[in-house]
Amino acid sequence: MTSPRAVAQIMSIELRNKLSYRADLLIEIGCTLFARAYLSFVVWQAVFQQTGTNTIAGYSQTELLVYFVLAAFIFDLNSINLGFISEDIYRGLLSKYLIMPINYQFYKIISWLGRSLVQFLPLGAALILFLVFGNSQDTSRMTVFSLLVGIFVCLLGNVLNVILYSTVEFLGFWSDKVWSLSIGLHLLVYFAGGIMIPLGALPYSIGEVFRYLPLYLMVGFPTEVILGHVHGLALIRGLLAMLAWFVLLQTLSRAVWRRGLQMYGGVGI
Amino acid sequence: MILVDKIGKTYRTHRKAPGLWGSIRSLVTREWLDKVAVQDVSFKVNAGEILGLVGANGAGKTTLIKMLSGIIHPDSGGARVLGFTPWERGIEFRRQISLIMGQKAQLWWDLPAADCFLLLREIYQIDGKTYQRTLDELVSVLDVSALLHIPVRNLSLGERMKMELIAALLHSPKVIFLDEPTIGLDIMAQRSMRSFILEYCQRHKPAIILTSHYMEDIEELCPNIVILRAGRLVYSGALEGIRAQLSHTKIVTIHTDSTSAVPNRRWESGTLVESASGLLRFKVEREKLRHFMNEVLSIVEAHDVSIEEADISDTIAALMKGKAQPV
Repeated sequence: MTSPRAVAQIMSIELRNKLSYRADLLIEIGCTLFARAYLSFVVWQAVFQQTGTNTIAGYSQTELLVYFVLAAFIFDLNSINLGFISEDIYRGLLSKYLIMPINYQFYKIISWLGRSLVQFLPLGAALILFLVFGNSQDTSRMTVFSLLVGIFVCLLGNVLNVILYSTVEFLGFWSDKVWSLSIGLHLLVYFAGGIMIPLGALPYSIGEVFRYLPLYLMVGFPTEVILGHVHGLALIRGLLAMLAWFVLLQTLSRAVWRRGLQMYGGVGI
Repeated sequence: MILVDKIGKTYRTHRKAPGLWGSIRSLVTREWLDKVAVQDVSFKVNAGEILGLVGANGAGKTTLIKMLSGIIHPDSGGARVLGFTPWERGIEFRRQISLIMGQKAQLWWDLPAADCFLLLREIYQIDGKTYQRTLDELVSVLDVSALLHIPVRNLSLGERMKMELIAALLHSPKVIFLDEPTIGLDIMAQRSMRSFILEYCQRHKPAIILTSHYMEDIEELCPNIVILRAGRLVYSGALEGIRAQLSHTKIVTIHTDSTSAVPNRRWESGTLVESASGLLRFKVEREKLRHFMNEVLSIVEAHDVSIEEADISDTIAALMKGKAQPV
C-alpha cells in the first residue's frame, strides 16, 4: 500500500517536472485557454444570432461558451495520458518502475494528478471569476457547490480515463506501437464525449446511449456537473455508471497487465 | 541469497528484409525468429559476494539480470532471490533489491537528484533518520554534495552515475544488480566507482551481481565470475580458478642490448610475441619454462628477466569467443 506521503511526493515531483519548463507551460495554458475562449465566443454568438433563440439544449449563450472551454480543457487533461504507458513499454522505461515497490498504474494516476494540478489552477481561477462576476440567474446555473462537486467528478473521470487508456496501451506488450489505437480512442472521446456540444443537443436516442459510455463520463459529465446542469438523481446515476465502468475496466486492465508482463522483454532505447 | 537453477529465456523477434520492398512485404507477412538469450544457466551468490557476469555483447548478461530483478519472466528453469521468486514481483522482494543500468537513466531527467531522492524515500518508506544518515554517508563518500540541486540532465555521465548509485542504495538493498556501471566513464571515474563499490560491499554485505566489459572491473571487484557465451554458461567459479585451470602460459620478459640474433630464430620451447629495442617478450608453456630459460639465456645476454602470469583477460576473452574450453 502506498503511503499518503508517497502520493503527495509523487504528485509534487510531477508538478515540479511540469514547472521546470516555464515558457512551454505558459504558452500551453495561455494559448489554449484564450484561443478556445475566442473561438467559442465567435461560434456561439453566430449560432445564437442566426437562430434568434435564447437557449440551446437548456444552455444560454454564456453557458455554452464556458461549456466548450471547460470541456476542451478536461479533454486536454485526458490527453496527458496519450501514449503514457505504451511509450514506457516501447522505450523500456517500464523496467524502472517494475523494480520499485509501487503499483505502476497507481503511480501513473497520481502522476497525472500532479501534472494536471498546474493546469487546474488557471482554470479554477477563471471559473471563480466567472462565478463571481459573469454569473447571473439569467445566464448560468453554476454554484459554488456545483463547482466543487464537478471538480470531484472531473477527478473521478480522469481516474476512469487512465484506466481506460492503460487497458488500450497495455496492448503495447504485444505490438511495438499502439499509438494509432490511442489516437482512435481519443477521437472517439472527442466524438462521443460531449466536447463540442452537450449531449442534450444531439438526437435523443444517440444522446441517451452516449450518456452511459465512459467517454461521456470522462468529459461531458463533469462539465455539465460543474455548470450545474446535472444534479440529484441524474448525478447519482452518472456516478454509479462511473463506478460500474471503473470496476469493469479495472478488472480488464489488470488481466491485460498480468498477461502483458509475461511478454515484456525490457528492451528499448 | 541468489540461487539460479537452469534458467532460460528465448526472445521472439521478426526479421525484415532491407529496403522499401522488405518494409512493404513485412506489412503482409512476417518472418519470426526465436533467439535464445539464456539457456540452462545455474549459479549462486552469497551475501557480501560480488559475482562478475562476463560475456560478449548479446551473451545474455542483461537478460539474466532482468530475470533476477523480476523485470522479465523466464521461459524455463527457476531462481530464488532472498527467498522470493523474482518475477512474482512481491512488494517485499522489490523493497530489498536494486538495479543500476549504466546505459539507462533511472532518475527523473528534469529534476535535481535531491528531489528524486526524496521521492524514493517515500516510495521505499525509509524513515527520516535512516534516510538522512544514508544520504549523508553516500554523498560524502562519492563527493557530490555540490551537485545535489542541479537537474540530472545537466550532470556529466560520471556525476550522473554517482547519483544513480545513491538512488539505488538509499534503501540499503540486500541484493544489487549492477549492469555495466562504469560504461562510458573516464579512467578516474571508473576507478572511483570501483573503489566505492568494493568499500560499500565490505561494509554492508549485500549480494552483488555485476556485468562489465571492462576487465579491470572484473579483476578488481569479483572473486567469482560466471562466463556466458551465446546464452550458455561456459564457466562458473573463482576468477583465480580460470588462471589455474586454463592459463598454462607464462609471459617471460627479457631486457637486453642485443636483439639482432633473435627475430629469425626458431625457439624450441617458447614463442616470441614482442621484440622492441632492448626488450623481448615470450609466451612459454608452464611446464617448458625451465627448458626455455636455459635456451634463451644461452643465446641472449640479459640485463633483467621477469616471469609473469599470462593476462587473465586474454583467457577470459578466449573463453567468451569459444577459442578456449573450460577444464
